[in-house]
Amino acid sequence: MKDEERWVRERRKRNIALALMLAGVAVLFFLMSIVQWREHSGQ
Amino acid sequence: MSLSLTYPRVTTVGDFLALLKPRVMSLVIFTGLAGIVAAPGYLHPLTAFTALLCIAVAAGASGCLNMAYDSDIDGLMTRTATRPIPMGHIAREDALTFGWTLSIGAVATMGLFVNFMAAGLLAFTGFFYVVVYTLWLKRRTAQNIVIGGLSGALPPAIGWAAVTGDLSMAPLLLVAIIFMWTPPHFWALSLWRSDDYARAGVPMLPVVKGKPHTRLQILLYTLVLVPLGMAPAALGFSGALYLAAAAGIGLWFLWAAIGVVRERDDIKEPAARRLFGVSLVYLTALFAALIAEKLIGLPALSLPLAL
Repeated sequence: MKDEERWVRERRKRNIALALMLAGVAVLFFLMSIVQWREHSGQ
Repeated sequence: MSLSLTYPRVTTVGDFLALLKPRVMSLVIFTGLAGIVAAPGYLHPLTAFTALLCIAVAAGASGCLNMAYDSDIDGLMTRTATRPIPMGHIAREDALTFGWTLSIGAVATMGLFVNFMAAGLLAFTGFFYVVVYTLWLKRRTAQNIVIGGLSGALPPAIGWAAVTGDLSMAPLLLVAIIFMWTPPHFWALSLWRSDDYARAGVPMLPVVKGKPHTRLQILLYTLVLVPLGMAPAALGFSGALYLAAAAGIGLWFLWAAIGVVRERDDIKEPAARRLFGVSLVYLTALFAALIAEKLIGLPALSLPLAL
């Protein structure tokens, strides 16, 4: 049973890390789009 | 008779992080940052962060692909046997997918949000490390780390290009310094790891040409590196702080290289281990001085050679 718990926990940690990474990329792309838009519009 | 179910070891976040070679990545981030800080012109802080992130991720991806393509020989060497792929913690195919995804993602992001020059240099750096060094040179020639060292030397130029959109003499000088630093740094390591390399069939210089020849080559490269390290100050790209660091630690580097030539302990190689440490201090100090000068606003020297 312990093996199963450890396996599930490690998998969950990996999925959370992947989700956080993708969320980080999405936020970065959003913010960079604003920076680019402001630079190109001369603001 | 009982049926036992065993759960395979799931690949952890730590395994993926280990594939990115964090220690190599930190040096690349540092030299890339120096290129960004030293370059003339303005870059929005978030764009600078994005550029640095792309450099870091692309460097990590190259390290990951290197581990995937070299997993057969990594298992044969003490230094690399505990890496995630030879340990069976991660499948080679997963590492390849991870590495190529990050690599392409980093270059595309650099091109999209920073500029195409920086993205092109980043792509070239990854190509050179993975294809030219890992797949082509590493197992074929004793000059593997000399030529392959170009990929590790390029981050300051990528950082510079992220700000200016082009290249000039100053970033190329920084590239030249890291390029000349790489052989003595890695040959020092290979002196006390030569048995490892011989077992894996990697033609490192001590394996192919012997230790006395390697020691001499280390000294020759160091003799070129030390004055080259001072060149940014002499040519008017940096100031007194940088010159003091380059001269002071450069002489320490040279002294350590002379120690390697005079070394007689072929087993433990204490002088080579010392040189390896000094080389890390040298490069870190040089780029730290460069960054500090720019952040403090210290003026560049106006010596007769200044361009």
